[in-house]
Amino acid sequence: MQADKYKNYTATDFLKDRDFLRWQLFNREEDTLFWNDAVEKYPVLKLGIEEAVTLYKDNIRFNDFRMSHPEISECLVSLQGLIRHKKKRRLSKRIVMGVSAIAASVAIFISLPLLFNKNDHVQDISTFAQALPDNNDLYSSDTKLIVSENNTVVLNNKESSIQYEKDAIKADDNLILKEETSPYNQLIIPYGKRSVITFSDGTKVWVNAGSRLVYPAEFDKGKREIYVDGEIYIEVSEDKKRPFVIKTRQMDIEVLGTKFNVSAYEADKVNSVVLLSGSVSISSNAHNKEIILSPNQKYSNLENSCSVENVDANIYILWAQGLYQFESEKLGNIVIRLERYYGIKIECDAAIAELKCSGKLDLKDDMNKLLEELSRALPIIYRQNANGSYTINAKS
Amino acid sequence: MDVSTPDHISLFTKFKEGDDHAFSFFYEFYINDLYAYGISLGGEKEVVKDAVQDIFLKIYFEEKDFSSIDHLKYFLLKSLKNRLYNIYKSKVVSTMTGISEDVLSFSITTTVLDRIINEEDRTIIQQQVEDLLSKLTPRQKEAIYLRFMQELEYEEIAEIMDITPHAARKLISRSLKRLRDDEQLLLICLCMLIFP
Repeated sequence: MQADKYKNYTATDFLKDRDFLRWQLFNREEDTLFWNDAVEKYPVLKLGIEEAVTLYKDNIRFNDFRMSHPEISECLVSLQGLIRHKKKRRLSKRIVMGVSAIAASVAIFISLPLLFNKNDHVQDISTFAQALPDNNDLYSSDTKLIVSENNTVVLNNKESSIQYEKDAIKADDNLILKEETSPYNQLIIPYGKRSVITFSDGTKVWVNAGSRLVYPAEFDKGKREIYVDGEIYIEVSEDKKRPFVIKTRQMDIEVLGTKFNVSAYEADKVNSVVLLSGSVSISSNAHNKEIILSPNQKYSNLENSCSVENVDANIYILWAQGLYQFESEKLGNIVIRLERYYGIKIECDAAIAELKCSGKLDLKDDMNKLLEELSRALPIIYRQNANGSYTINAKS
Repeated sequence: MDVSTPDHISLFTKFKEGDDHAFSFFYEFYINDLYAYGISLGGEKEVVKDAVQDIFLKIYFEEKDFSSIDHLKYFLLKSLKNRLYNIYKSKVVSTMTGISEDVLSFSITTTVLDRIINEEDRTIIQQQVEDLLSKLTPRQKEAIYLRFMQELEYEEIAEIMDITPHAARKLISRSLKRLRDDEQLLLICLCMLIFP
């Protein structure tokens, strides 16, 4: 190797040089010595070499195979499913083994819980939830978990995770003892945040931005009830003896064990339920009889009427994985969802709110990128205002 | 990647205690390293993805007695390799008559990102790097990749490649020598052409 041939080399020339590349690849002592010598002899090389080293580090990748963020989230969700499935199988094995041993004592103790039922004075969940003051918590910057009158846990993660265990509640890094809680707990997810909550029976709920959830710290022996104002995707853990009821202002949804999405923002006129698997029955003032849904059906409730249609249920729960897919959806509705999800105000002309489009957005991207993508598909232009909000207009 | 920040260490402690949040964190943290390693070993995308799920599922339900975050990393890499080996070995048996030893064959693909550098130069750079690496056997490539691109210690490479640390050192030094000897050979040939 001769150092003088490099005198007129640019950074890119170095990158094309085998000796230089071998030095960068394997960092061998003898190569390092050679290049140090070269710089000492010809100081003019220094700049070019330094630049080439930076270029190499920044631009050359080996076996650069990677999955996208949504792909990874999808994998994680499916792994969590596999884990739950395996846990359940293990649990049921353990239960079968334990049953014969405790059968004798069951007969004696079975009537005791009734004697000590102390929940008699507890209010009905809907009454309790609807009597709560209408505050501005949905515009706050933090998620709030209200476990009792004088204990509110503030969670500032964008995606918080809450777990109800036997004696305690884990909320991100906080640990709250259940003894300290009121009969009903309340979870408030402001715009721009999300949360995943796991109840002690194993039921898991993904709570979308701008939602409020009310539920007992511990489910009753005979029923499991929660109250929702907003949107959730729920995977109900099966328990034939304790039906799970989701109450909203306009409807009650009763299930045994299943997966489905509920969108029931009190601010929205249309409420909906989309079923992934299992079955649910819905009662509402809008209809006398209960409506039973099958998988891949969507129930919509608009003021005093309702309808059921067939849909691909999977697209309705993508938000739980940070994706938003829509098919010939009005721009106005897309904007409402984005506002909620990001907690950012978007003004949209009435004239273009009726434009329809289809596609998929990655909700992990920032708002600029999403609006950029929308404006590529539709004849619109957007701008960001000084206060952080956005305005969308028709392209002139 | 620097994994020794206090945050990572406290997460790692939680991970070992079986905390779900910490588990998801390390899953997301290493999934692309594993994915890339699996593809480099010649695995198909979906097979690699499934294999990664298998090993994490197994770890979730097992005692997590890893001595360090690095230990976790090479344990994952090694488990993935074993898993892929088993998957492909059984496929070979079922489709062909004999078992071939080389079920997995490591390759290194070079990517030159398109910032600043123009396309023509990118192609030349990529070609040069690939020429350099093409002199190596798949096993040598794997060792080189683990040592210089994943920055693992010889002991860890030995663990993953199922050889002694001494053999790992030898494998890598021999690969480097091979790259160098070839260059010299080329130089000698050139000299002979120019000054016969």
